[in-house]
Amino acid sequence: MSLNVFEYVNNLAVEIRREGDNIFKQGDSSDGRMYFVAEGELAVIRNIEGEPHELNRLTAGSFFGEMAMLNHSGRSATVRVVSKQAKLGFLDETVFMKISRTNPIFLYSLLKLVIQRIGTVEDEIEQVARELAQLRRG
Amino acid sequence: MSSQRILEYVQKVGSRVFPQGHTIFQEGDPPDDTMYFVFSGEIGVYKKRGGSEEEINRLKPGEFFGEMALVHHRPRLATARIISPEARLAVMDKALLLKLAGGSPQFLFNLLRYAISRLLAAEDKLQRIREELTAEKRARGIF
Repeated sequence: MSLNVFEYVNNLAVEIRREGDNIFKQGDSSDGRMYFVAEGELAVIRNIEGEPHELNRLTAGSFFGEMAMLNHSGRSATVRVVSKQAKLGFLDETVFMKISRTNPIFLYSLLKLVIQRIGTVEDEIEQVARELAQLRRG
Repeated sequence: MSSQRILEYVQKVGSRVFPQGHTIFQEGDPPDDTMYFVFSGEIGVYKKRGGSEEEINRLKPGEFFGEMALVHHRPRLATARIISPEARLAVMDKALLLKLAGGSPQFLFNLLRYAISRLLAAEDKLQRIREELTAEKRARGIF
């Protein structure tokens, strides 16, 4: 799932991060930013029962951090650079609102992507629930 | 624009009142790219189980439903029916959503926020049920 924000914003702030850098950690309060991957690869890691589990990999075109930014909630996972380096674009809520006004399709695409993720997670819940029920039936 | 004004605006451009018992869509209906937002009233969501219908959810004002139609062109997965004396719903297809995003992004922004909190809740649920599965496997000596 990707959204090329660079299509919508010309002068998006960009930063380069190195391998092993945590962009943020699970439980951190939000720094008010969401990120877009321009180059490189990042891992999304979540602690499950105290053990770190890699949930997902993010490559060019992916975005992350939008949930904490828009919901003013804490970070729900850790995001770490796993390639030699990564080039990230970032924006805050004010810029986000500005882009939304001038590019309705941006907000619409983001909504669609979030809905798509809800569907994926709900499908997974159903799968795990089925496995659990089977196990309990013996 | 205040949130009250935005709601009034959306109500004017894209909402309709449906009577009790009216079926918004039926499980298996072909995709029509439309999602709904509840302004007032209550909606029951049903799925066929065996020969009968089972209620799987109830929707109240402020919630949306049918949103998967915007991302997947597949038949409706459940039936949605009005259970209150009447209900006012925003009927939103891609064209209206784009118009809203341009004219009053706040509404779409709120919708996005709501979608995100639902995603967070789903992710939490997934994590809990995964932990349950791990515990169950451990208890049975499966690793």
